[in-house]
Amino acid sequence: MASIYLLLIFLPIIAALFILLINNSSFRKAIVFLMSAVLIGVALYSISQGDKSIKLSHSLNSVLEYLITFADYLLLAMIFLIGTKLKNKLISLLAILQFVLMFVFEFKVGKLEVENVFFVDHLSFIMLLLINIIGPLIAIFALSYIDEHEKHLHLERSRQNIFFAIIMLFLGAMNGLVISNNILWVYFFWEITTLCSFLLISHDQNEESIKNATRALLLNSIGGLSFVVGIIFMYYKSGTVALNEIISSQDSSILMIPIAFLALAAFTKSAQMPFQSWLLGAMVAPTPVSALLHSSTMVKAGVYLVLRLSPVFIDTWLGRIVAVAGAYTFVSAALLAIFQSNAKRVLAYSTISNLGLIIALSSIANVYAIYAAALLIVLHGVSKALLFLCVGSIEQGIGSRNIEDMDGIKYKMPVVAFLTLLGSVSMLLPPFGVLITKWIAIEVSTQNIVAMLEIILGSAFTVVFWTKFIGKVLSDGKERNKVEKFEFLRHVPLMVISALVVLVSIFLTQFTNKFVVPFFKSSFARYSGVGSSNIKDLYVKDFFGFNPLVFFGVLVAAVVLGALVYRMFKPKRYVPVYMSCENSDNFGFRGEKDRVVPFEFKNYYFETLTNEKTVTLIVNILSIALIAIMFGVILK
Amino acid sequence: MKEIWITLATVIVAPLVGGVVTGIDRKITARMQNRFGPPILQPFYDLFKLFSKETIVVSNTQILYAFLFLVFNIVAVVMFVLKMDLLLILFILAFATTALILGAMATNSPYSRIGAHRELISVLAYEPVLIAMTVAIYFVTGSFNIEDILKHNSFLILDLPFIFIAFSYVLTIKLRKSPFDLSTSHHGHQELVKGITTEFAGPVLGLIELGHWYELVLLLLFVWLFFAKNIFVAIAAILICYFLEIVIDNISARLTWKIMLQLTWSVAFGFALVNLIWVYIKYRLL
Repeated sequence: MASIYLLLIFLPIIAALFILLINNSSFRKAIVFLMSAVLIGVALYSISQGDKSIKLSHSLNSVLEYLITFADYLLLAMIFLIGTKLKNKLISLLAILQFVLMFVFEFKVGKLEVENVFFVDHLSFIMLLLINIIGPLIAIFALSYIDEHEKHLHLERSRQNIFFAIIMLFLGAMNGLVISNNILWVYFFWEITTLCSFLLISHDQNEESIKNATRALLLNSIGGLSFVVGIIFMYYKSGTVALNEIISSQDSSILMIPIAFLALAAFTKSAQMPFQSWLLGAMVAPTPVSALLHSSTMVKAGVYLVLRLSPVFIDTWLGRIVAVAGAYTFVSAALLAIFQSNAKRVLAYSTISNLGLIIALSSIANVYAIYAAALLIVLHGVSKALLFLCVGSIEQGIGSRNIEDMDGIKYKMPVVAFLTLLGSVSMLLPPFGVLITKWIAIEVSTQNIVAMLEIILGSAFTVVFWTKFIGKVLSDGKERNKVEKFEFLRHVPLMVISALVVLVSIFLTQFTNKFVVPFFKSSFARYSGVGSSNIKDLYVKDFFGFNPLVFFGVLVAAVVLGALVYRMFKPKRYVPVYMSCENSDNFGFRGEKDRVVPFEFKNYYFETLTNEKTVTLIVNILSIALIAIMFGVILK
Repeated sequence: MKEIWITLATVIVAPLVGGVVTGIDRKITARMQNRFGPPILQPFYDLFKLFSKETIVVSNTQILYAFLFLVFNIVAVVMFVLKMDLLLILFILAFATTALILGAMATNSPYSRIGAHRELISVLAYEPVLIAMTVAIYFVTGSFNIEDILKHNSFLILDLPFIFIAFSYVLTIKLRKSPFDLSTSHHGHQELVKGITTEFAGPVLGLIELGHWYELVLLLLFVWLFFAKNIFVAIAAILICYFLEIVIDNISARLTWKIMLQLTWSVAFGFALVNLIWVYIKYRLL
């Protein structure tokens, strides 16, 4: 029984070793396909087994314990060496601090054995689905993407083996992170993801990518240190390092200090303000990396940790401040997204914004808030994977990732343009689920007026930047020659992910009842009598009267009706745009002496009002203040 | 069954009301400008004429967006009459606007694109106020559901006077009246090019016009919400409120989007915020 959980972690790691050692393109493809099939199979099998606390045999447990402890120190040593190689003293210092603290702690308290090595509940299932379905699909997409990417770079020797090995390692580490019960193990996998993201961001090995990877490593090392401090406080306050014991702890007040440190670690990993810069910098990496970091791995680890610990700090002052901080990121990232013309930056800010919303929802004391937080992790994961991969394809297709260059993209790359549209619409409009989570957020945040105001404003900003983006994807362009060629490895993963985007939203209530409600029931047993209430009472029929099935039904009816209306109003004549009758065509007008003057219209980016830099500065200062307040609250 | 009848009745009655109100608006406006003005039923004649015209478009997709604009507005009004969730109605209303913006951006016309972006800025200006209004209503009545809000045993305006002021303020933007008719002008003398609707013509423009009527009814229903305790007071309030909008429309010149944004965010949102905080303290903390 325990073996399937070990498989989830070690299979991808072993596959990573093979990919690394055997640098052969067809072999690599075979392994990626094989691992995709196996991972999804194993993940589904483990889910079919239901909630489990897994004990390993004593000897196996000790072996693993030693292995992970050893590997952990090795990892920190590696980060230290990377720091010295990069000549970044701060990274090295943070690694040493983590090393020393960890060493002293483990030396003093002796062996910290946790009886149940793995603790899998429905939250782990949600994460496993995200990691093991979306992750491999991104890897398959990358097979096609990276070939072309390397062509552009003119490499002498392909580095694809390293690239795919790290991706596999990353998936294994994420699996470990979400099923481990021992928080020391969680920390170990947490650090692996930090290292993996560093290696992936710096993949191209040019100056900019190394610089940005360094920043990612630095900020995440701050999180790592905060994590270690959190663990140590956790142990001294509660006498345990087992997650399942911590979240069922009766006295949550003593756990406030460790939780605050762990929350800070989660903030860094999930790129919350003021740590957002590393995720923006991460865009220099090949697009599949961004897709991976933004959807199924890395940033999701942070929000996972907050949601995991939520039962402990929900309904406390710490929880309220975390909600305000999360909602603050939601609004400020959405605001910053309005100033962006680079598609990847828009997506990055939107991710940061949504992660903030997840964190805010995780810390609001309301059943529906928790439901929405869990749902948003999934909804955002699938939509963002799709969007990043699409933007990556567009970039390779038209040679630019600037939104302003996407005029007429619907003619040049019809498939990808349509899928981009689907992805962005799913982040904004009904009947897709993301909207429902935003709606729930406003409805439930009424008990936290500051967080609520932030969510209100953020919601308005969100409409603005997405509408600008969608408008450009749909807009007309002068050049209409098609550049898109159908590629199996590229288009099939995109289509599968799009299908998932739609399916998750259609079956939102069913998904909630199957996965989210059982998680809530088991994890929040302590919280206002959930434990005693019947699971049937917690099921949702709809979301405040919004039934996705009904809504999709209405949509289908509207499409049919729309088709009929279209037949009725079928255009008889096409006309050029209105230019006071001075058009030459739709893209220019007749000027002096009938000379054709081309015109173009760019989206508004509000440069005359303010710029990104100023806003970022103000936003960062305020967010640092919020974190100070968060720590101030817990001090007695 | 009853709901189906209500829905049908709403779908039929709302545009009639919207059209008549628009007609009266035009008449009063004309009198204020010392003109005789068109007959009150003129908007209907206009609409029939639009629908009798040939369909000409720049891009096929425009038809879809015009249609979506109409559908979302109808859905929003019907949801209001069926007394559903106020917040969701606001979202639906926002999507109607989004559809219109996308329709304007679907062509390469500079006029309609500028209109679209101005409309987007308008969304930025009024959306927070509208949502703040909803939340304030929630604090007072304990529900987002119109059904429960209507059960509140006194006039909402008594608790939410500042919110109402803020709402009336953004109503000017929502109705696209001066000084906030940035995205499209409705007076011939102001501008020849119509901003967001420049590229729509004939029956497609008719769909949008119809959508506006539904939108207008919905906005007036929002006013009614504040005075729902007594139907006569409510009707009087709606009339006075709309008359004031017409007066403001006729005495003010258009402002730039920057000034609009600054004004709504400071004055209107400020008013809403103050009221929001006091009802929060009154109904949540005390």
